[in-house]
Amino acid sequence: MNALFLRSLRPCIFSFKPFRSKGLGFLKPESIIWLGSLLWLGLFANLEQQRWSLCPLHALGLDFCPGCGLGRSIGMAMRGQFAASWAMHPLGIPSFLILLHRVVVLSFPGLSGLPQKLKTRLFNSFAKFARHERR
Amino acid sequence: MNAVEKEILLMPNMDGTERIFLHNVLGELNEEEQITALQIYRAKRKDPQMMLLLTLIGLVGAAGVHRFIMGQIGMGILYFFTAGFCFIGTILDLINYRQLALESNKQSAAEAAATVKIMRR
Repeated sequence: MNALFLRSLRPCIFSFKPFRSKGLGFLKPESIIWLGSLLWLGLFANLEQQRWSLCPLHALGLDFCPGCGLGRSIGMAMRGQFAASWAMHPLGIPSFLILLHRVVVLSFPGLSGLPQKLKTRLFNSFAKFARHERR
Repeated sequence: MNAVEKEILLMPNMDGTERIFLHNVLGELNEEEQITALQIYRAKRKDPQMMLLLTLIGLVGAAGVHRFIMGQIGMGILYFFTAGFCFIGTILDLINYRQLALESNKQSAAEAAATVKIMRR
């Protein structure tokens, strides 16, 4: 690898430090979809009656679908109706939390491996200490 | 062709974006360390084509295998128990598979560089 070429690439957009992106750069396609669906479910969706469904199993006329009711369940969890949310779909509350975590990780990629990074830093300092002791 | 370029050529379906972030992450290391880091990275790397095939399994059988493989265990469990959000999430991931593979690859490249820096004395 050429050193000059590397130096020219250094101010490149790909950096691993969190909070580096400016403006709306933290919005990626996937996070836009998750955030948009969460906002829609939490603020605008009508949870009392289901008018239409995106589910292909539902469209085929099958009664059994493991994912149906999840959207309404997330919406109920966001509006504080936890018992109703659990009755609609048990995974509603966990999926709301997991999706929120996913959006945060997507927006600030430096945060994704934070426990691993802390572990590495701890190990590094320990190794330095052990080397110091040996001398 | 030097040894680093040979090591990069061993990885299938490598595109320009991945090459650029590899240059960016491994730039501070010397050539020997770069080769070690690339060997570690090659073991951890997710081939985008493999991610596409694993996502396609979600339309037929178990959904969310790709999320488990990328280390997103929470999303994997969600996909598995809701049939990929009623197949909608699976279809989104079919569109987005390159970004997903790139994201996990960036993380493993950073990890590989960190591992090599630990071995340095």
